[in-house]
Amino acid sequence: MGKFSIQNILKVSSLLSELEYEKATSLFLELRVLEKEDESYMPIRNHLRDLIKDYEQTEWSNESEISKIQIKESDIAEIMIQAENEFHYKRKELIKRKLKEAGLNQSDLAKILGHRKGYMSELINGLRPFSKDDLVVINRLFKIKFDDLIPAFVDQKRVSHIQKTLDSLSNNKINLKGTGFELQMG
Amino acid sequence: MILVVFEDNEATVIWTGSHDEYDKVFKGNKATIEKWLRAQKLI
Repeated sequence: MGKFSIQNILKVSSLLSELEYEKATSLFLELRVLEKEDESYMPIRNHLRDLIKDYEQTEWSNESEISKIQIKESDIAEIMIQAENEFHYKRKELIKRKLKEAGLNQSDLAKILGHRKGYMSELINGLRPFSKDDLVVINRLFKIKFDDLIPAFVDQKRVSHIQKTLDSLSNNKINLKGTGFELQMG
Repeated sequence: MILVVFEDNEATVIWTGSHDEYDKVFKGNKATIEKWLRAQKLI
């Protein structure tokens, strides 16, 4: 979600879906840990707090207006963000293990890729997306499969677009299995 | 069951579920809880 890459968060003016709300909440909690080491995260975290409060006020404060669809969207969003966090965690552990095996550390990797230390940490922690070039270098150097490097999650809007398109195609030879949920999660 | 993070004047609900769900996710031991918290970037 490029909108929630760390450098873009201050530009976000509102949360537009349950998925964005879950993502913002997850980042807000992650930055609770990181701002203790780096105060520059404080304004970003404060901004996330405002976005979360606004969204809760609009979407979740009136119990009689909460629909079953909204609850379902919220449940799916929660599972998706947890899966994304777990993916980042496993990728981080894998890269760290491979670095250690190669006699290197995260600072060395930052130098290899030409990044500042702090920028490298944001990449490793999933606060920024790695560039394709970085991932190719990591894949080649440490023999880490792309499946373990690239988060294979599809944006909710994209999933509904794909589903609508598939439904509208009249070709009855199309043979694709999978619900929207499977499309999102892989 | 509810897992809540308290800080200053704020409380954030991190996880909710039944006792069975708690057992399934956290397996009733500290190591699994710690791993879950790390994977969710909470510690």
